[in-house]
Amino acid sequence: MVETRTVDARDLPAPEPLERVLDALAGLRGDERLRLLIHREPLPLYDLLRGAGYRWESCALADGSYEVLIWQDA
Amino acid sequence: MIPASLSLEQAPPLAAPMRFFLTAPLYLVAAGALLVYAGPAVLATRWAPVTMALTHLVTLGFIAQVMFGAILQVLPVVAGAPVARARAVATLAHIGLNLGTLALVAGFLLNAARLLQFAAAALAVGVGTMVIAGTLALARARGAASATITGLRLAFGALAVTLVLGALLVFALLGAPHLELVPLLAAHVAWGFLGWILGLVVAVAYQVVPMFQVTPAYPAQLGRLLLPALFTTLALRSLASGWGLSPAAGVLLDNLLALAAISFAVTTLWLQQHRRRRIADVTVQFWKLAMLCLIGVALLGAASTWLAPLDSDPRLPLVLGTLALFGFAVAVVSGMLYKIVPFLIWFHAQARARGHVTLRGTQDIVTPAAARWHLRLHLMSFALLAGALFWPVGLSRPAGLLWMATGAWLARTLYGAARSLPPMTATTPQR
Repeated sequence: MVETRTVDARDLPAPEPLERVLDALAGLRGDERLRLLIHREPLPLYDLLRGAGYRWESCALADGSYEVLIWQDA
Repeated sequence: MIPASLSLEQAPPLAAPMRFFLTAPLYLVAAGALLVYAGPAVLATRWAPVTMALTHLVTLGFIAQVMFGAILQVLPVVAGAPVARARAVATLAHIGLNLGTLALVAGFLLNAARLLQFAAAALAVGVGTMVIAGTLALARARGAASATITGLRLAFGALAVTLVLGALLVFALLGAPHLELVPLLAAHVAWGFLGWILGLVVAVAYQVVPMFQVTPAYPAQLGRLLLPALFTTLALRSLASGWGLSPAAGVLLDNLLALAAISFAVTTLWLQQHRRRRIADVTVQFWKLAMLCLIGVALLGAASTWLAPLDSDPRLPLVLGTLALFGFAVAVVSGMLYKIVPFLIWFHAQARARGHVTLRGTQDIVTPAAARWHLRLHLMSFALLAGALFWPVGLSRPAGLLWMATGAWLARTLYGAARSLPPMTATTPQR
């Protein structure tokens, strides 16, 4: 069972969502995943994740917000 | 903290945007100083050389300067399109813009033809570099922000037109035949303010207002229609005056331009009223002032097409210019600085510290109290300058002093923010 930590960054002004995600990623163990809830699609984050060797899956929710699952590339 | 492996490739080098942000407040101080030095003479007529000098200290030295830095930072975020060779582009654009602005201002004040010619050449290099680099970056743009990307392309086009018209005005001032000052100036002002400044602000607002002020999104139809309508009308307006079209057509087009500006400003104010988290925020306040002033510019501009006495009042261009530049544009870019600069410093500080974190968040870099003082100074300076238009003898020099204080306060805040960045750590080999 993979442990999942959640960061709820909905309705936070930029750049607080990015601050919180980067903080959380720094403390993430290799077997953990991060679940990010955010009110808009975090395009700049994807570039950062790609460069840092993370993988992610993002999913648009019915209310217009996004759920992004992030984990380290094995 | 940023994980050690995190790449900073997507972000431009810190020095590229920061050199613009750290230079800009000095021009606000210079503009204030010129107002103190020349006093009521600055506010007598738009044609006074000292008035043109002051205008360009603000439009080129402050507004364009901040916008150039912000573009380097914003293009990768909203369009996924970083400017290639950002360091070289920033250096060349910064040198050209600043040499050109100083030469232009000195040329106006000293009535020196050589300086004006040099200014046109230096600005062609500085502004041209930014237009070309930005347009090339936008050719690689991706992402869903198509209204913003289209708007940015149009704004760069308008900047190029403004530059060419400005160069023609220099030749006209120096007595070149076949060049008429009045229509050239009208077109230079229209493309510079409505095309470049307003066009860029609208294009960027679609992204940054919801992002930084946590408002609902702009209505999709406004996003699709507003900027193409603004630029089509602007182009028709220029062509109409060139062809000598009927005055009625000109009035109609001017009123359409005012309507476009008002619809943007009213929508933005409405979105701000519907913020999802209504916390006090200096950027929101700066933008509110800006939108109210934009509505004022548009209403006054539209009214002057109907009321002949208003149109012929020599104070009209000065009132419009004060509202448009100090009330709208300076406020918009000041508000943006408080979102962009703390984030830039924080981001690079995290990358440099590699775990030895010294800054907790962006609030440590520019304190909300410092930003609020800037807003207060800006409001007082703007109110005094607006008053000085009607009582120049009494208020123009106090207004100048307050603008100097506003610029100095902003400089102090931004230089303090830059100093809060820890030095490069030992991961960089020392030579």
